[in-house]
Amino acid sequence: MNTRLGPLRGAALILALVWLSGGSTAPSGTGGSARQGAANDEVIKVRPGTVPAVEIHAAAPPEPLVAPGPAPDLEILLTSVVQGYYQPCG
Amino acid sequence: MYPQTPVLWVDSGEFSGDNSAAGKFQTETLLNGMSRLGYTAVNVTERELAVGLAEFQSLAAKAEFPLLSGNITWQESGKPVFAPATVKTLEPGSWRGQVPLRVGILGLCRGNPGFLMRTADDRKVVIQSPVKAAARLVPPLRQQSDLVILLTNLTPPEVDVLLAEVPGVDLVLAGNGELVSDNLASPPRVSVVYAGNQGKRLGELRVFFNSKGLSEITKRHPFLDMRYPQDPPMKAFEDEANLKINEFYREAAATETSGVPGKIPAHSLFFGAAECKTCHQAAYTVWETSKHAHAMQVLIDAGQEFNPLCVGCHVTGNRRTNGFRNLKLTPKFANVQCEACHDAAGAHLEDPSQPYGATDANRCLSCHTTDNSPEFAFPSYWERIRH
Repeated sequence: MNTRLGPLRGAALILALVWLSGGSTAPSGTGGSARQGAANDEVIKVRPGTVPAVEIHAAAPPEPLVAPGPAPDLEILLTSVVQGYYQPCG
Repeated sequence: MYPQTPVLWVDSGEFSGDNSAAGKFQTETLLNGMSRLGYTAVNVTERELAVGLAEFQSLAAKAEFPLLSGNITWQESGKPVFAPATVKTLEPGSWRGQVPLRVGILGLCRGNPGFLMRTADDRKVVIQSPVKAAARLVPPLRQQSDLVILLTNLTPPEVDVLLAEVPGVDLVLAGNGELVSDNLASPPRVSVVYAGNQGKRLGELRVFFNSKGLSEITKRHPFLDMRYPQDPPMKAFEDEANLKINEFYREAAATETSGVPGKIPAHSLFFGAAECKTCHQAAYTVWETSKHAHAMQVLIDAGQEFNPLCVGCHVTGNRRTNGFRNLKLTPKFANVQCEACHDAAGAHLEDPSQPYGATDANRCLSCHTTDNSPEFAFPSYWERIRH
């Protein structure tokens, strides 16, 4: 069923992620700004214009709320073209 | 997400609903939701003006964040109608640096030389070239900022042109249809990110600085599927909005007539599953116990049975000939019945000897899309309705 105000659902999920991440043990950042330990980070490296495949497996756990690697100096959360409705249905 | 890291929320625009009452309510709700979430800045595009400038400005006035556009301007003066840019300053203590971090955010929408909107007081709004606007707006913003972000709905080639002609942007955060792409570059090259549509993915960018300035940007964009928990207050807010949107459409349905112009050829008529049952009892029995036969109840339970964005996949012959129009007018065609997959049975009833009803997995995919039905796999789903 395609029933929900999708953007708000996304936003609600994001808020939940923020809330849930409050008690995490993520690196807190201690002043060193240069990024290290990139090998464990889930950086998506794709060529311009390509579309990363999105595969959803209900049994698989979602991506971790706090990814491995050092904390960044700043996070930016981007939404785009949120018009319309979206929710996985069945 | 990192608890100690400051977060900026931004939107690249084209978020508004259409010009209907439900669409306006949706726009208002989204702006309200963005305010509740603490958005930092949102880009304005031509789509946002579809409700009219005064109407949109009225909605925007309640937003608790700046709505930006550097190239939606007054024709007479050339001055922007909205604030072109904002600078968010993170003081030491709110981020881990020892000096203030100034993030400049500029909004630019796609150019449209043919766009001209008159206001009630006969002022005219136009949309300028984003490249020319950027050439004027980026240099001063660069001087005020340690990081310059462009929010836009430009296409990738248009972004390339802009970046080639206007230096000074560090990061382009964009949206254009369903496009999802990450062109992450090492500074001083510019990173360009498209985050898809409908809030399906969280565009999460992680920005690192060193003593010389911006050093690296990485990104994830997890698909916000049902495995992630919802925030209860926002879920309640969302549910309330969805119910109200359904009521807009329920009211519209009350005044709708059959609306089918002219005479419908007999071969194009839908008849409903009860008619099929007379000859295809076994297939009917399988269908009767399937989820297809109860697809409308799912919407009723969710309070979305009048939402046109939902019903198309829960009914038969939606808006076609005499098929489903709304639950009050055409309840007979609620649910996904035989003709939803096999097409209108009119011709088959006229001459049962003629070929009819061939269908394949592609028909399923019109509703069981990757987004809406991510677990769909034809072999396993077919077994549920094999007949």
